[in-house]
Amino acid sequence: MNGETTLSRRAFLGTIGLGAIGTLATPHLVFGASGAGTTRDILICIFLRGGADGLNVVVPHGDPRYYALRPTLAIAPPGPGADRAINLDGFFGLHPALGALAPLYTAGVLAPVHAIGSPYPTHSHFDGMDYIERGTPGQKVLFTGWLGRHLETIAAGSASPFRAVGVGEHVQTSLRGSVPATAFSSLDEFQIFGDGRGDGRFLGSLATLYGGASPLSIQAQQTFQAVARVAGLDPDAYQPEHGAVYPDGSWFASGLRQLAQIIKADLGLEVACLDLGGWDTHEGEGGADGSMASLLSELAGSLMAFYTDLGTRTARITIVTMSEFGRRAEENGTRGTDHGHGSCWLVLGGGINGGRVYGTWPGLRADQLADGDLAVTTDFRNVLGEIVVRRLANPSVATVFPGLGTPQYPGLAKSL
Amino acid sequence: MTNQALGRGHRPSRGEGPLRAGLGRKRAAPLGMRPSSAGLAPRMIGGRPRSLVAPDPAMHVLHRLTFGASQKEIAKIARLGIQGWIEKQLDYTSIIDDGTEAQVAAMYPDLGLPIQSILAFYETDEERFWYHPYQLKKATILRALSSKRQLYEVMVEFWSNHFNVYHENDWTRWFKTLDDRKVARKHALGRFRDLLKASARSPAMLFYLDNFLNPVDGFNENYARELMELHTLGVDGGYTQADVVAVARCFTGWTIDWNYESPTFGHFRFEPEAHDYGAKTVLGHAIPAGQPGTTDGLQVLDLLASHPSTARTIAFKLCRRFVADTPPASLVNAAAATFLATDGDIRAILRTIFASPEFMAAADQKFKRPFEWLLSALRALGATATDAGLDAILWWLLEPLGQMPFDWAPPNGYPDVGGAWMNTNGLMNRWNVSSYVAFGWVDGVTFDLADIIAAIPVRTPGAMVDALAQRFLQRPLDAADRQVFVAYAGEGRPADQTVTLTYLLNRAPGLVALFVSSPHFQWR
Repeated sequence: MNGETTLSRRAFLGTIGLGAIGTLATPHLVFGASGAGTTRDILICIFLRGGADGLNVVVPHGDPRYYALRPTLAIAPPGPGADRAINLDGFFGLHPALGALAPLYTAGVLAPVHAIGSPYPTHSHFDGMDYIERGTPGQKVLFTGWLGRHLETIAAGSASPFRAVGVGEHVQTSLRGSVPATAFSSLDEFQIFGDGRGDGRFLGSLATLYGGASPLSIQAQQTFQAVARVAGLDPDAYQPEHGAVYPDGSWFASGLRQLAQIIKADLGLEVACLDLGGWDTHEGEGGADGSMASLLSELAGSLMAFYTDLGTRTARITIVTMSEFGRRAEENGTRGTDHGHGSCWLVLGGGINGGRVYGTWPGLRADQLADGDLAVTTDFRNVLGEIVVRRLANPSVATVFPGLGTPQYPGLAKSL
Repeated sequence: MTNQALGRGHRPSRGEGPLRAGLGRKRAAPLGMRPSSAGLAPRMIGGRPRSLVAPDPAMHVLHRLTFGASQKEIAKIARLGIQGWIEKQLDYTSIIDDGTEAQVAAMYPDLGLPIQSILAFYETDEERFWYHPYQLKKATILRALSSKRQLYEVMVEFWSNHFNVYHENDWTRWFKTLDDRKVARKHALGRFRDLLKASARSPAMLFYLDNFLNPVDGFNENYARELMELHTLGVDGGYTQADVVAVARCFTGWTIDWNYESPTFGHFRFEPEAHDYGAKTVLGHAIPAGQPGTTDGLQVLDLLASHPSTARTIAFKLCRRFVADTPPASLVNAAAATFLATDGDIRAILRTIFASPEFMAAADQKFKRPFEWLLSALRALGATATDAGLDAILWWLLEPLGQMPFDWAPPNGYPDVGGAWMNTNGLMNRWNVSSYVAFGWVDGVTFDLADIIAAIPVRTPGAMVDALAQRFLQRPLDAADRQVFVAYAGEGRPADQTVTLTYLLNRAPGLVALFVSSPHFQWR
């Protein structure tokens, strides 16, 4: 493409402006701003796709079996030097690449949950993710996701197209339900070009054709509204606050940065999902350095920037990192780890009783492992359920997690 | 047009490629950025707008068995009849398609080279080396756009997606070319057993699912698991963790020849000293100790290729591809029965599906995936593309739409259900891409819209709408929908008001964009 064409396209875009899109916006353009009219937290769910090796996320350096099982992958116990675990409580330590998050633990807003996972053991990525995102381990009866059901069950939900957001080209399974979620990969490209005439005919015709209540029409109407809202944001000009620096070149960091902008613009965001992939470390996982350390560093740097950027708003924000399973306790023959079971999730936010590691440690002796895997002692639904009840003010846990039975909340969230 | 100009793309950066990192080392894990389970479970996604009538059965066949109804295929199916056209497409080698293949050979000659020669470009022509994977991506688009062997190309895409290999996984950038040639393209309409065995020995697959690093003294079960879960039996197909371990042991020593001085450099290699010669039990079947060479692995593949669960998995996926997101159980059972009766003869299974009343009754029930949607628009327009045009399609259109060839990181392949694709971002991108294409902004992609419009005998907004409805939807619109298109085309003028050709040509690109953006064009 030559410069002239680029220029003319820019000029063309300029002619569209807000007018054409604005005429399409349906009456309910006054959204319940997050924080105003509701005390619910905004929930950010981060899925670490591929099966994150929980034993090298939060390291059980106090368990000697850990070092026996992982001759090349183990993270050295806390001590002098940068490539050692960062001590949390004398038994657990953060992977050194998660160092950016250590101050949040000390500040009491970061709560790792260890030996967490699904009560339905599967070594399949796809089943593992599917069961967690549906919130129904071992059951594929409901096609909705747990966040989708959460949104369906809270009374008087807003009509904002940004109520539920999936960052990426696909909406995450967790968000599936009758409340449509908005997917976006880049806010500054979130606009409809149409025919460039600015007379409203193209978008008006398109909106008429997408009238009605079919699933496709609902998605289209959502898109028209979301585009109209984003048009007022000027995403290019966004400046992070409080000295926050998002890591360069990270799609994940860029997603969080844009979520921060949506949050600050009070567009009515309630739940957002985004993904960080690459955790399927069968081979060349590395220890303090290496492929997993790079991912952890990207995760920690991005989370810390997001948390810093949001300043006092973090009082009403909860962030959870999750993964479909952990990995085998013993390293494999290719300096990696195969699919396992129990993993480690991180919960972060102003309403979290952080500064301690949650979960009952099952141990790493052969008789304590579940077929070679870290056993699961915390059902993930109890952690998410507690957040739903205490931070999202939704008592309908039995609907969000059918089949959970009597919840056993770990107590990691303060009540609103 | 370059990537840089587009501000997109992630071509491999210099100096951090696998050849510099050391042979056989792999930086990235295969499971990538995407929510891989999205849309695995179907949901009610509707189907064509209620106002739209069903298409002619022959058009339904074209919508499902090709990358979009082109004027040429419409004429061909009218001549041959539905059965005749399907049989001709199944017998694809009888279709003379030297045009497209000659074009591919001329534009992307490296795709036909031995893998050793392709890898040797690292020393002699780095540019050619690093840009190699885009030759395959562009050739794939070109074939979908203009090959006369449309059903064959549809099936190549199907199998390439079934035996998914992520193209950005270091060495797969070059090995995928071999995989494309020797697995998907070679066996697309052959026997499943041959396809499975070719895939198991394909360096791209051996690398992507880690089997190249599966020695007896530290085996890796990644391939073994996905082989059963995704390629054959299905996740509920009746295997256990013990079977996964046993299968992994059977495939110990199946690796890639990394010795660049060897005549089989870059090909499959069996490493005898890395193999586990102990006895194994796979799915209750004894694999005796001490079998030579690749016997264990081949026995496993034969076992899997004949297994009823495999028949069911493949039948289900083919029915999902050609019939509906949730295909009727009756048809899946019939297709699985054909699989078992014919030892996995892919043509026979397809005949069972295509001849069924369930298939014929399912018009417009599949939400087009982005690749299918874009290609169907380009084929309706009779578009052609130069190399630069294919680059533009790849990076400017398919990348934001989320479906570049071979760009799905996890091993389950791009989802084939509408729910995975029907969302805000996807629709917005479709609408914008409609404009890019219709207004002729995609450099190197050309079609003669003026010719199409000039050929309409009556110069009225109504006649232009009717002609484009035939071209894009292969059927007339109902009165209310027609009025929406007519009001746009004529800026409020009556449908039958005579206007100038210049006026129609001025309105035509916007009208094309509206057709391609409309809910009517999103179904196949």
